[in-house]
Order: sequence, then C-alpha cells, then structure tokens
Amino acid sequence: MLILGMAAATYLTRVTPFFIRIREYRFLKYVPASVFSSLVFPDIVRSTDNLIAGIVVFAVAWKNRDLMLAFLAGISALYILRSVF
Amino acid sequence: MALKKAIPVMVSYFFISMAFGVVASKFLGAYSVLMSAMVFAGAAQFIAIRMIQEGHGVLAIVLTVLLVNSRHLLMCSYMFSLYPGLNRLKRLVMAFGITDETFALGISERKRDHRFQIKLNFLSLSSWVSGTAAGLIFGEIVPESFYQVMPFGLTAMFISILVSNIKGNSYIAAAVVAGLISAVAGTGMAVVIASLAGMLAGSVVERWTGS
Repeated sequence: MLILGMAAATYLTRVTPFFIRIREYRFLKYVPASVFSSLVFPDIVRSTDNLIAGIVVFAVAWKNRDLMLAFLAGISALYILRSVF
Repeated sequence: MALKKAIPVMVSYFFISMAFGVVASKFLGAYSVLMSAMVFAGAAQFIAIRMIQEGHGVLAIVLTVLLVNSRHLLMCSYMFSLYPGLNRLKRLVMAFGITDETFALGISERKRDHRFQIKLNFLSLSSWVSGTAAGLIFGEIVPESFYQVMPFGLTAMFISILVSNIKGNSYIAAAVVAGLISAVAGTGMAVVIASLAGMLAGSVVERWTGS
C-alpha cells in the first residue's frame, strides 16, 4: 500500500510533464543550470571537506567535461580529505 | 555505448541502494527490493524509511514523496522538450526512469536519441534494484566510509553538468540565484523553488543584456 502510493506519487511527477507541452522554452532552457545548481549547493556547503572537494571538482570539470572523470575526482577528493583530516 | 555512459551512475547506484537495502530491510524485509523497482527515487526512498521508523502514516509519507520528487516536474518538462515527437507509449516508458542522474547523463549527450535515454534509464534501474537486493542479502559487509563518499560522486557529476550548461551571463545568473537559495533553504520542495527563481533570474538577465 505504501509502496504503491510512493510509486504513484513519483511516477506522477515524472509522467505529467510528458503530456503537457510547455511552449515557454525561454524559461525551460534554464532548467539544467538551475536544477543542478540547487542540487549541488546544499551538498557542498554541508561541511568544509565537501566544499573543498566541490571546488576541486569544479576545477576538473572546467578543464574537462567528462562525467566519469568528475565522478572519480569527486569521490577520491572527498575520500582523501576525510582520511587525512 | 549506453552502458559505457551509464557506468559511473550504475556503480554509485549499486552502493547507495545497497546502503538503502541494509536500512530498509529492517522495516520492509524483501519489500525493500520491490520499493526500489517501483519507486526508483533515492532521496524519496531514504526519507520514507526514516518516516516509517518515526511512525508516520502512509498518507504523510506519500505526500512527502510527492514534494521531494516535484523537481522531476521541471526535469521531465525539459526532457520532453528535447523529444517533442515521441509517441505515447514511449513517453510513458521514458518517464518512469527519469532520475536526477539519468537526466544528467542524457542531457550531457550531444546527440538526441530516445532509445539511448531509455537504455540509460533501465541500466540505472537494474543497478538500483540489484544493489538493494545485495544490501538485503549481504548486509553490512562494505565499510561505512565507502557508502559515505558514493553520493558525492553523483554531486561531482552534477557539478560537471552544471559547468557545461553555463552558456552565458544569463545562465550564470540562473545558477547563482538557484544555488544561493537552495544553500539556505535545503532540499525537497526548496529545490523546486530555488530552481524556479533561478529560471526567472536567467530570463530577466537575458532580457536586460540581450544575451
């Protein structure tokens, strides 16, 4: 019952936009920059370790857009910071 | 190709959902695997388990899940704008697998191919479900510190996507406004409010500067 309700609620948030066409592409084109910024910032201001690791990843991502590289830079930077300090 | 692209997400999904499986199995047993297969939303699932633990009712949990996942309204609107000609069945199938991470992978790809997106979605789902099952069966054999850094790998991917989506001053405005608001306001519904404010800021700056 709980699982069905959760599944329905989640699917609703995902499927509804696929059946309502939004023509305001002027706003929509800012979705990636806005959404990912909102997901990233609460996580990098959580602790000093996260903030430093976040800056490292920013620098890496600036030079190279490879997602795998960013991923590896992120986990290794945080792992090293947490082990050393 | 889809497999190669999906690997960082599949690896981190496996370990994050393993952590989920360890915790969730205490309350839901084998149903935790069913939850991962049907809900497929990390943050929402972790919050649900905490709410079960605290004794909240079904309605409260379902409404919270709705709020936490409301950011998908924005992502899926954007996703649909990339594939305007998709038929109904494919829309229904694609929508099921859109998470923060599958969305991130898909939009970072230059070519637009709905089959590629659907493959990414289901590869990630398979990893999410099998990770949950592994957590349920094997329990806590992976060190705690390993689980803790995996979510940051996903944050790192988001940073990369964020950087590649900054295409001018108006995009910087969108990212800065959204980032500052969310840093203060936190997660869940705050992500949607921060994002909408960011989108508005981007449009305003665009109108001002004409860029």
